[in-house]
Amino acid sequence: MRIVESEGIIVFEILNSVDRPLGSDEKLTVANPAAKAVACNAQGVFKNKGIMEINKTAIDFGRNISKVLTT
Amino acid sequence: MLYLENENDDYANVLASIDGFSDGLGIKDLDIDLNEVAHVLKSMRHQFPAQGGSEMASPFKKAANFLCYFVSQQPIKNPFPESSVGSILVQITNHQNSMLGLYIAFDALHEATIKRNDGDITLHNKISLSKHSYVDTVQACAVLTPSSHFHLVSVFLEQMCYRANPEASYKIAF
Repeated sequence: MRIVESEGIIVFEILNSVDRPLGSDEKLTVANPAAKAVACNAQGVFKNKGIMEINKTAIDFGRNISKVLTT
Repeated sequence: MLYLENENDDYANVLASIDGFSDGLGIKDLDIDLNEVAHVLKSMRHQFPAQGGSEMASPFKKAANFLCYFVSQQPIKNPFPESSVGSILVQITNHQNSMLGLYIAFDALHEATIKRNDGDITLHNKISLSKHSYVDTVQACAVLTPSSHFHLVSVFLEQMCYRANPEASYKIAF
């Protein structure tokens, strides 16, 4: 999977997922990188983070945890 | 980050987390069952095992329900390699879904807001664990199911958040 951002549009390029045969790539386009929480009267809501921020935080965490687990 | 107004936004956020986490681990090829990811996100919203449903739930209950469904549905099909997760975790069946589910739940809870009668409280500090506790947590969570573990996981996440954010806890009573 690759994630590409251009002018506020996020495109997920999903390659060869298990439920599709090899070679049948797919693109998922998302227009709203920091979406709205579902209900303002909820007893708790998660922060609305942008997709690229979510992706970068996950990369950093993955790197750190791999370093910790393999040493 | 989860339980957003548009379910497709949940889907995009979870895929972005999976992509980044696996990239950080140095994994080039990951088999993701996209139908299972979509099923997890539908189930966590529409089969919410607490009064008032997901719309009235605390972030701990929301994160717990996501984690239980993610681990039990097992959307990541191939285990992570030993070169990425070490010799202990690689032996635990379903470690890949436990690790990713925990990561997404922890990340969602970071900066989450709890709405209480005495005011809103934001969880500014991330959940943090020692290597030893992390390995034990991944192992314990690798067998989660929503029907058996939702309430326990909810309390577990709540207590970990309170450890990182003591001011968010209710007053200790005993």
